[in-house]
Amino acid sequence: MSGLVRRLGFGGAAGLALILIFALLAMLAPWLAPYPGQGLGDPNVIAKLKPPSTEFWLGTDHLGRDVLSRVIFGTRVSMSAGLLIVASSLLVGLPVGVLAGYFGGWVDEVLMRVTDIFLAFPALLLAVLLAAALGPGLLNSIVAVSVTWWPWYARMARSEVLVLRGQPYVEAALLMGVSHPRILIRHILPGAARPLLVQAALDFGPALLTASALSFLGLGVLPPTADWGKLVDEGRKFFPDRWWVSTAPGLAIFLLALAFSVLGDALRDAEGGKRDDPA
Amino acid sequence: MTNPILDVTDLVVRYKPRGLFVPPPRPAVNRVSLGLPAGTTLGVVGESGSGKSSLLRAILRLVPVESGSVTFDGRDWLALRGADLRSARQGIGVVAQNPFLSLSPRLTIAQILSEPLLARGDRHGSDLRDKTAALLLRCGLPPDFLPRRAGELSGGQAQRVAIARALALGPRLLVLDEPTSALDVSVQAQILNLLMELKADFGLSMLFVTHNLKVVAHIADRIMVMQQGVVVEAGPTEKVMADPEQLYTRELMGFGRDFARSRS
Repeated sequence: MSGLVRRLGFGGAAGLALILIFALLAMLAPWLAPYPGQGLGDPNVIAKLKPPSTEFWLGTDHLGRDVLSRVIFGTRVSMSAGLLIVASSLLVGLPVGVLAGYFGGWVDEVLMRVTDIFLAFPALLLAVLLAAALGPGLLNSIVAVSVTWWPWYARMARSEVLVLRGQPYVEAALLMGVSHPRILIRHILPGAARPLLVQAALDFGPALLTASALSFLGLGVLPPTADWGKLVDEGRKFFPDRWWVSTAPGLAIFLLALAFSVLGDALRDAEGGKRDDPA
Repeated sequence: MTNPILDVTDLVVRYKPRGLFVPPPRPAVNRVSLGLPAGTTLGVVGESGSGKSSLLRAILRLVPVESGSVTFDGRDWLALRGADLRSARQGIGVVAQNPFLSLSPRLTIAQILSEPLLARGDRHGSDLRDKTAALLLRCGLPPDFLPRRAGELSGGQAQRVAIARALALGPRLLVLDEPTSALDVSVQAQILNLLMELKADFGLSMLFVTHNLKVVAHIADRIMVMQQGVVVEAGPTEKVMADPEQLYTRELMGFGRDFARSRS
């Protein structure tokens, strides 16, 4: 444990700890939330818009639901949305970039021009457009954000592969008669994947923010389910008089995005210290 | 001996012009011919920019050839494509200049040595492990090096691994690109001696490219001197060393340590 702190630094370790706490909250939501039923959306109209108290630690919303329980259940939705966006973008972007960089020529031209088309639109605008076209819903909003997300990974993977492809050990494998798929799996992918995974950790925060933004705009999850973006949106109507409704989910978004950013930075620093080429 | 294992005729390599209105550069390799009888060693010598590396990379099919022909082991080498080229390449072992760059930093020595064997179609198992251990031992390293990574070895040890890998498939030709240039002088001599032993044991033919005439004089049967893409002098090693025709060749002799003298 102390070795991990030394490698990641204090900030990175703190970020990791915060992420683990949120992950735990998401997994154990039904047991940790004070009012699990309300967390899932059951109204409780006799206690509408109550300020924070010992009964409701973070107050209640316009339907009398405990904000703390709502935020804890929202963690599940928001975290899985961020994770799915980054993972599916990697799943598309990594192979596209690796193939373009490795084979070059017309393969590169075709794949990267398609990538450029996606990059030509402002990301959030394209995501909003797609989410609106697909209709509201958690899965649709994840798809919409992923579509704007993968081209960045494709570009990054391509540039990593271009460096790796010129390495003498890759050339040596080619000269030994090793097949292209084998070279890709043995030499190219492990080298290209590591910096991309670091980038993915850094991107988790922005992915979370974009998903929250879509929910805030009413293009994300459908009630009574709520991710943090939706919760902020619901509280917006009562802000600033009943500030607690929006503040708690807003803080949660802020903290988790910050935690991933700090962890990503620490990972990048740890990675930067030991690049593959000894030169 | 009459049939050369490698025969190069009028080979021209020219890199692409850098811009639309830039005149095409002069060829990096300009009508070079060479023949390598089986079981002999040819040293290709020249300063940097002389075209020796371009010649080598063209023979290895790493850069495109503009014109000329290459015959390896009786086959039209430049006509090979795809899977044919891939399997034919297994008949040539290659050792590069810097072993720390030519050996993957992520793999163990065992994985590195088994790579060419797996590419040929060998299967994982004790048989493969025995083969890699035997290869390593033949190149002067005990089997306890197998689980290590290249980064943990010295330059000379790493180059022995690179040579072992080049020999894994029992190639008929060994191509060496400055194999001693990244090593310090005492290690250079060890590597050269190892190469000469291997050559005798396996009946290898070798193409040895270097800027160091003294290194190559130690090991080559014939020497070919290149300058600005053309062959300026060629002949048996003793003749070139004793009585060079070109002033350029004499200048090349000025580099490096004299192995012939240091041994006596």
